[in-house]
Amino acid sequence: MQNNKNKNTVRKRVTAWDFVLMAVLVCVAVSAIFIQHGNSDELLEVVVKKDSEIIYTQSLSNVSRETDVPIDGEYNIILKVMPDGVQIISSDCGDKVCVNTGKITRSGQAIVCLPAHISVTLRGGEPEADVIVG
Amino acid sequence: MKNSKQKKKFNTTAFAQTAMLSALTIVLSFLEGMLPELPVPGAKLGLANLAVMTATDLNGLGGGLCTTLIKAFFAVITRGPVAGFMSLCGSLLSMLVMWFFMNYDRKKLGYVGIGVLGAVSHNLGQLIAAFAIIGGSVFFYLPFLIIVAVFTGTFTGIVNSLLLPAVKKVKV
Repeated sequence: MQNNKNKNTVRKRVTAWDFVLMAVLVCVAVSAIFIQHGNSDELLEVVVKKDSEIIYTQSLSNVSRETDVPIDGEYNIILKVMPDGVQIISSDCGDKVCVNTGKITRSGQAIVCLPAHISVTLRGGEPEADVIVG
Repeated sequence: MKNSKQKKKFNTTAFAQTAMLSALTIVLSFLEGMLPELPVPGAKLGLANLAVMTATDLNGLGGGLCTTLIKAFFAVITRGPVAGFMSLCGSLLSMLVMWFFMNYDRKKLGYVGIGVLGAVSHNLGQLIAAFAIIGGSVFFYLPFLIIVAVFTGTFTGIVNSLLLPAVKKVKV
């Protein structure tokens, strides 16, 4: 079918358009990362959801020292809540993506455990300016 | 395998190629599971996408679709329905995007470009699947996954640029 069509012009390995494509993708990704990280703030709140239902929330400003929070469900997940962020420190799920995500510290960041249908997100109260000028 | 048929007669070459490439996706998925995790959570090298791209290029939409479905079926029986759904969404979107650009870009893009588009859309499809399952802020990962996809897609494209001309030369 298309094999015959391909004989007329052979596709090259790399063309200039490929580099344009890659450059655009990298630029979009990098700027998106910067926009996300711009939303850093002090008043962070941990929200744990199971199947889009909120099962646990905790404001990090109320956390003075590290506490381990077990999350019940199909899999035993232990969430470590720290004054500056949260981390899943152990989980029974197979792939351990949630544990390998490590600690999240900024608003908008998330830890996701797909097998357990659990998502842990940090959301911020009021965004604060990085620098106040004048 | 009705998709492997061509207009006039049953195409044995396409049938055999689809079967072999589907088997290859299974091996590559398994191999990928043994590799260490990438620094970006949830990111996969997309080795299996390599065979999906080969299948789509050789046998069009039908070949690509067969390979995608067999790959997803394997994910269901080995890693459960959630992984199967993720695999299906990722590969299906990736396959459709690669097929579209293979046929309608007038050869402006190289194999590398097609591979990158395939890898990015594979990750996008997986995130859409993850969003459908748990909702929430899974799209937070997208920028990181795009950067990883640019590298894995380049790899996929280079391998296919070496492989495809050789496969097409073989007269069965």
